[in-house]
Amino acid sequence: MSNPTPTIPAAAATAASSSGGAPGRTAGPASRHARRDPWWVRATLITITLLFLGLFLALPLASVMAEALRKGVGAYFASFNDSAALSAIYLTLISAALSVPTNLVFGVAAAWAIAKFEFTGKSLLISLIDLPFAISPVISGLIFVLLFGLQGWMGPWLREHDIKIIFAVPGIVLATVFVTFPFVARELIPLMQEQGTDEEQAALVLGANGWQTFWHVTLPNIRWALLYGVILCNARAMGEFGAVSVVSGHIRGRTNTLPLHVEILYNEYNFVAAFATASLLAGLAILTLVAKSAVEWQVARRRKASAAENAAEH
Amino acid sequence: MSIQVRHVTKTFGQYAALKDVNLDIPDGELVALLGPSGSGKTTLLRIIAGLEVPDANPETQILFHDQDVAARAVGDRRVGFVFQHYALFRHMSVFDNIAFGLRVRPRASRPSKGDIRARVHELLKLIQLENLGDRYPSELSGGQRQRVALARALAIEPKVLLLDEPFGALDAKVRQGLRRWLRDLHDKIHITSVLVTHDQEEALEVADRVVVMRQARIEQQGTPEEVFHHPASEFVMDFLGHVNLFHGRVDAGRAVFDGLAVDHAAGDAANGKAAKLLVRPHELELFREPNGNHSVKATVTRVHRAGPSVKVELNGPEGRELFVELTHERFAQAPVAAGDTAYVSPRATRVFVQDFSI
Repeated sequence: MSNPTPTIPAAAATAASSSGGAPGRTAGPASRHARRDPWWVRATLITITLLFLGLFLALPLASVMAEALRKGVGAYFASFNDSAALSAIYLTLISAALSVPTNLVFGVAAAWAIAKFEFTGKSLLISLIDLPFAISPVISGLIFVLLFGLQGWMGPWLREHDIKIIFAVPGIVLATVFVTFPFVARELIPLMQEQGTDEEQAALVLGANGWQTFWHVTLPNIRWALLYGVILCNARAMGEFGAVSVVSGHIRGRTNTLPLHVEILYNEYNFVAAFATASLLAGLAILTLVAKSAVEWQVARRRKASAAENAAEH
Repeated sequence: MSIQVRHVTKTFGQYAALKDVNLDIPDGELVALLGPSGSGKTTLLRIIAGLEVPDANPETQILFHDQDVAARAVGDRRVGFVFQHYALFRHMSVFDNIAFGLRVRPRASRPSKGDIRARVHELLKLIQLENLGDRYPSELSGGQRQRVALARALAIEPKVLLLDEPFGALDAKVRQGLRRWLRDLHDKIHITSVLVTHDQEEALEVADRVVVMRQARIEQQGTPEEVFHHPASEFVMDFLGHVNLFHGRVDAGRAVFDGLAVDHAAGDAANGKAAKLLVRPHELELFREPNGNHSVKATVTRVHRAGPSVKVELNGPEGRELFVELTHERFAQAPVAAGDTAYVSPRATRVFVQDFSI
């Protein structure tokens, strides 16, 4: 692209020739040129970005696939044909299937309360929702060990009633729920605050009850953001390592999730199986990203439509 | 259906939005609640609707047709409410928006699908948007949206219609058209209606009765003619249109304002008290010569002749600005230009002696 210096008089001339109208608008292509960075700045920035992405994202991903397929496609698929691997896949799906709906309900309820009502302790609730993001996942896991472990606060009582939480599936689900609970709520709160309560009030005046108002008015207005939150929540639930690692106990075939299974295989020098399992998680991540982009695109489209709508009002 | 509001007080934290307000709205009338922002008019409307709960007080009552509805939930009051920013359901078509109030009814009282469709089409016809039932709110203009909001409110056959600054977000021309349309509509369906507005022109033009509110209380209520021509206070007069203000005092039963004296009914009792004279621009006359002790000397600063009347701005005693509005014929008899000296004389006056005005 051209050097910006010659474009400045051109822009000035355009502005001068249209002095009667709005110079900012009629300046058109010339002013767009003037606002563009020189080509070498853009080239440098793009190169740096691409190099960085390649080195830190694409290369590791490629190496995962390469390692997984090192001994051929047969060995790749054979690593899933193993009871421990299948049980890890199963447990990962179970914990995601339990924690995502739980957090969906909690997230919608919390966002609804925070965005549509005034009450004391609201800012405390918002901070509490952020807590799992703020503390290390290992500590999240330890909290549950302290609560439900044999030496924990509720340990004796749980043992008396023969209920196992730590080193068992309930502990893994609890830890996953804890770590993933901000996703849905944080996605919804700003949107619901922006939308205000006018439509809900209109529905109430028209005779709708609380449930009808939520189902027919509130939910349709937040559905895309909600889906986005659920996708992120699901990705984290399936990929969570730290918190789950602390509470799981790594019992093969019983309390191993996919990320934990990868670690065990790797420590046993079973590289093909370890990388094959890892590729499964990576594939899941890519799938999530595609779904996320699709939803993001939808959300942006909605936002633009509603912005145009607001602009038309004034 | 008549509405009565008895002893309603509403405070938000430390802030009093309404102080012991009483209001009677007769059946079938269109009443405008008029006042500056913060005067409590919207809060009063929302309390009538049930969207806001008045402060607890055993004397507080909200009566619809002599029945106390204060304890009834907003959805059970059968009111039509039109919001300033329309509050249309953005993900529903115009048709679905209007049908909403009928579709959410319990099964026993819900009309059949065919009946709902017939009712919505009837309302679309009423708001003159028959062909736009499939559109979404984002595809409509502001004026169209507000008409849809009105149709949606009317769909549930409300007993009262409440409108919260319904034309506030629209531009002047659309506003005027819609205002007249609302008045016609009211003449057709005669539903008891309350309209909140801060636009005095709107209130005076549309309403059967105007309730002027100020600082959480009702300042005056009456027909548009009454409040415009017989304002109860300086505030009402000032709020309902442009006024010229003269400061003076009462002396021997007459109020004296820099150079002009006006008879004052209060008599000697008010002697020595400060008084204010308020005169509307169209009630002032302009002379080239002094007019006894009934005129004020002023210098013309500007003359606007474009428009239905001639507007003259003058600089009066103590540098006070004066505005005079004359017909073109009247102006032609004694034309003035900027820089001329002129004498201003009131045709009609309203004197507010300090103690009485507030």
